[in-house]
Amino acid sequence: MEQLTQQLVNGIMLGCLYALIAVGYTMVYGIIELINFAFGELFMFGAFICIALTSSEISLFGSMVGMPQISFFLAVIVSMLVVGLLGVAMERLAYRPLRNAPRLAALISAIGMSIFLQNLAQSIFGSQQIKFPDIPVFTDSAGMAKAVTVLGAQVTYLQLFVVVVTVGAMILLSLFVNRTRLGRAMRASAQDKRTAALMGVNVNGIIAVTFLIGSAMGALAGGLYGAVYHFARPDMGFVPGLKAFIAAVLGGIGNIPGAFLGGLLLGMVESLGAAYIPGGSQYRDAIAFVILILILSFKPTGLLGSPVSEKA
Amino acid sequence: MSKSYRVLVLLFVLALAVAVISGCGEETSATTAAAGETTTTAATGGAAVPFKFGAAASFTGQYANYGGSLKGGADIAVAELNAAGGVNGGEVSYVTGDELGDPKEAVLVAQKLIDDPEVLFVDGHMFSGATLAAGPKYQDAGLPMISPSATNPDVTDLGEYIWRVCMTDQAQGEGLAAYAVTTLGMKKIAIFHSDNDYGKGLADAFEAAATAAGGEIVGREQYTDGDTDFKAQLTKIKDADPELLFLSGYYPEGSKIAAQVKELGMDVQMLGSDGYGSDELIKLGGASVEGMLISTFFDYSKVDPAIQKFVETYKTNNNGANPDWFAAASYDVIMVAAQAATKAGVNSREAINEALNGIEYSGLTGTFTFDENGDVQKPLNIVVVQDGKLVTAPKQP
Repeated sequence: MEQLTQQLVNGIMLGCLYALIAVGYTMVYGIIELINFAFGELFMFGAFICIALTSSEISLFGSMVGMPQISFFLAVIVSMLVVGLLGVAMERLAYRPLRNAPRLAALISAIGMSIFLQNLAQSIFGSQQIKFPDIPVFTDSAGMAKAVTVLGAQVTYLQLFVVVVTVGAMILLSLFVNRTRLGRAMRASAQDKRTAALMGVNVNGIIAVTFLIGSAMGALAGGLYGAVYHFARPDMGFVPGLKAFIAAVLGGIGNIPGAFLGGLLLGMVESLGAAYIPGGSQYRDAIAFVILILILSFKPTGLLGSPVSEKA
Repeated sequence: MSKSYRVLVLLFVLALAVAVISGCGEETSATTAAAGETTTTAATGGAAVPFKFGAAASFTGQYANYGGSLKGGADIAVAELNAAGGVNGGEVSYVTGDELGDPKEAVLVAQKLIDDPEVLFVDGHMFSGATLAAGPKYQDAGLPMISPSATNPDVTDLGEYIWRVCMTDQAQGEGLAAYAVTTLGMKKIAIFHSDNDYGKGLADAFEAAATAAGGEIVGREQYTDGDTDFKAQLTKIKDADPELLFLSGYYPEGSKIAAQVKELGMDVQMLGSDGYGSDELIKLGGASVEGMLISTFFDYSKVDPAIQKFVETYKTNNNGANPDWFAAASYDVIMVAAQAATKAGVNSREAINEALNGIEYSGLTGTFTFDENGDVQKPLNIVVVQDGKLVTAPKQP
């Protein structure tokens, strides 16, 4: 029983990380119907920027550069801002010019962006793993993670923080999208860009804001992921990005609560599958992709998604 | 398509075809020329043929530190040999082949090194998986390959051109099992290993030997290289309540495993395989790897003049970093090949391979000779992570 509780705890925490990235994917898809394959790289940059800001020095382009070593929480916020702006720049450079081109063109552009950003990170930070500095609040004097025991399962302070932040982010995002003017403009643009423009919405600006927020979520997820697993690596965004995409599809792509649900579900299934299916630990990544195939076969609109009618 | 456009396309295709065909042609003529060269050199007793070799490892990517160690050791060996006048009068140098630790890439690197007529032997590969993939190519081409670190037992079975200066996983598994059960007195042992050739092979050997020695394997789980979350498997292991956790794999995963072991509140002694034997494990793992025992074939804290000289030179060349056993093994590979070439009196692939038989070499990783399979018998060292450094463990096998 204790083991099951621990596995559930592991699954929930993993799910929260996937949920944060999935939300970024789903927001962008909802508004411009583009699956931003470069999103995993924004996640990766989020992690690297957090490491850079919380370290005393870091290797940039091969030489050691002194760093401010600020608090983790501040670093995450700065990272969200920087990566958010990076996302906006990405949209401006790689996707807006292709807004009226066939969708495949934008998709290919996204893949190209992903490769470019990965290699850029490799040039800047090197191809090796670097360690995420220990966060003083979450680490005790011996350098071990502080933890509590809940129902027989060991939960670290950092894990609790991740869950709290994820839930908080979801609530804030929901409030923003549903209760503010900007949020209403976003929903309108997602529904029908032309009509929204006719109603006086600056659609280009709204898309930029969507990218800003979505990328910031990705950076938040990256910073937390890096902190939880104590590392960053230029290719670290690839697999989580794919899994978050699956989570977004699972929940209904374009649907923000759906992304949250999908992320949680995927994290749980992956953790429990790896633990309880005989030989499952080798196939934990495969579990996610099997889910994708099942969802697309039986309910392509996802768990919370509404049927999409073809545009006339 | 307009007529002029079609003509352009046709010309382009023709140009491409010519380039491809002439490229292929060049390669074959080069190899035949090389064969011709080697025989004439052997016949005339050799002018100063350069002593060039290939270094095959992962020099970029997440395992780049292993390749960095190989290079670090190689550079010291090369400098030493050149300072002494080269080998058989020939200048010592090397080319690198980056295979990312991937068996598929290893085969491509092997071809590249085989096709270079100046390459006399290969210092590499480092990972068992890559070695097993590339080995047959070297064997067929008659290019001696001496691995510093591939420990899978099947490696030297590939043929008489395949050698290694490290012990096999069979021997390492047996040695570590005896250490765990008999020396440390651990009766309940869990195994967590990588599913690659090295991790699995070593885990199999360890399990068999530990069970035979009277230990009980209470749990065995595996992971895939590149995974970041091990909590699912570790939670199962925690439930089995082992006294010792044997970890078989590479340090990028190892550092994360150790952190997660601690995060789950597991109070267990960790024993890491030779893949963990590097300061990089400590850099990535921090406090969570303190107290971990690691098997190694080279202990940089040993008080031995030859070892300490190597350590000092390595630290000077590498920003104060300590050499790990991969660097020491790489050094030994080059030195033993140089000794073989000197014994034969000629710098050629055949001569070196011939002279490696029965050679007696004394180096950083011990004194050894190759048996008829190309393997060596060596003692196992255990180090422990103490205050952020690898030091000799209090109990040795």
